[in-house]
Amino acid sequence: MIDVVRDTEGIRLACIEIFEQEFQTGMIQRSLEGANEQTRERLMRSVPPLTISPGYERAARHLMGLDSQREAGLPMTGLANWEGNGLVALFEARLAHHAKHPECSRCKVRLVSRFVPECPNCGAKFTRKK
Amino acid sequence: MFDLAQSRIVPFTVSGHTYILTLSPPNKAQWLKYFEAIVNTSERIDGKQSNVFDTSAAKTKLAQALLTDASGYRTLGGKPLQEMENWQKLVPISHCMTAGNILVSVGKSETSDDEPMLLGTEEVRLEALYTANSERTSVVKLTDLIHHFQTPTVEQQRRYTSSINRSFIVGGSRAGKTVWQGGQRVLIELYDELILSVEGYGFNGHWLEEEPVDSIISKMDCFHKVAAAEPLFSSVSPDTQADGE
Repeated sequence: MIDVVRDTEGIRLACIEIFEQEFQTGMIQRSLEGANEQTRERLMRSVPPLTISPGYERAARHLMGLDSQREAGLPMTGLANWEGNGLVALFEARLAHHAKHPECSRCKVRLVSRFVPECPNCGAKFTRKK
Repeated sequence: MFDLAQSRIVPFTVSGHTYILTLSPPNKAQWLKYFEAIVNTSERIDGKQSNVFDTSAAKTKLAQALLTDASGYRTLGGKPLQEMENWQKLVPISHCMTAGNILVSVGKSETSDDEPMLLGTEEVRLEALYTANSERTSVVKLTDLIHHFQTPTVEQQRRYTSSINRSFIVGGSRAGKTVWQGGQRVLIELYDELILSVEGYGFNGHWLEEEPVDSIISKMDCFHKVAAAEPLFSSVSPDTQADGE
């Protein structure tokens, strides 16, 4: 039996998976402008479902809520030990997600990878340094 | 008055026969055991989350532990029930569950407050099934069981959300089953920290509202504590109107 709050690595992986799912959903939503209802439903179904156990998902989303409070300036007093460790895991997961999906230098939308030649959102072209 | 010291008498009729179960009031340890016995699990099957929430075994065990008398049953050789060994285990599970249902029939009352909310304090109004009426024909439902709280702090809100998000995984981090811990224990703690006064409750015939907070904390039924404290941490839906109405 795994106590989810003690499994910081599991929480980190859960955060990465949630970020990835949100990224895929956002990408599809951007491409859906003008699409009919059927296409919209079909494409939204293509978003990969989460594979992590619901306990990890809930813990990760709880930490994301706490992180939003922190960003809004609420004092982070009275946190449980696991929440402190979990916030660090969330930070690391976000760094990993950002490294995998860098921002477009022009419109700031996150890209599928650093190797895409063009931003699908604003059309900015990227050249790789040789 | 919801007298917290009184035994709970539960009459019910099955196939034309009336049975009456008497239960002692549950204490904190018995309630905690009940909360731990609730089956609350989730797992992902083919990408979809499947949830299981079952309180029946927990309710049956609780009722069996609290049974002090039962009437309406026949016994072998007409032997008095109390002289039979483990007679509580002989009471049908369905009957114990009926009694258990009475103990947990506590919820937020929909009746309107007399006055608007006073800032800095919060009021939660409950209704609950209590015990049999004087004729022992049906169970009395009490409304206007009022709990006055001080407003929780952000830290207390966090403690609650932290507790409801805790779980254990059985069988691996991906395909495994999530066993939710439940936030009842923390809700009981928060109730004890926040309660100011109550209305509608008594203990051995004396109104609890005239007693100090410590007395309320020690005498209040833990299921009522959970039911009263939970709404403090859940949001209220705003009134909405469709565009153009």
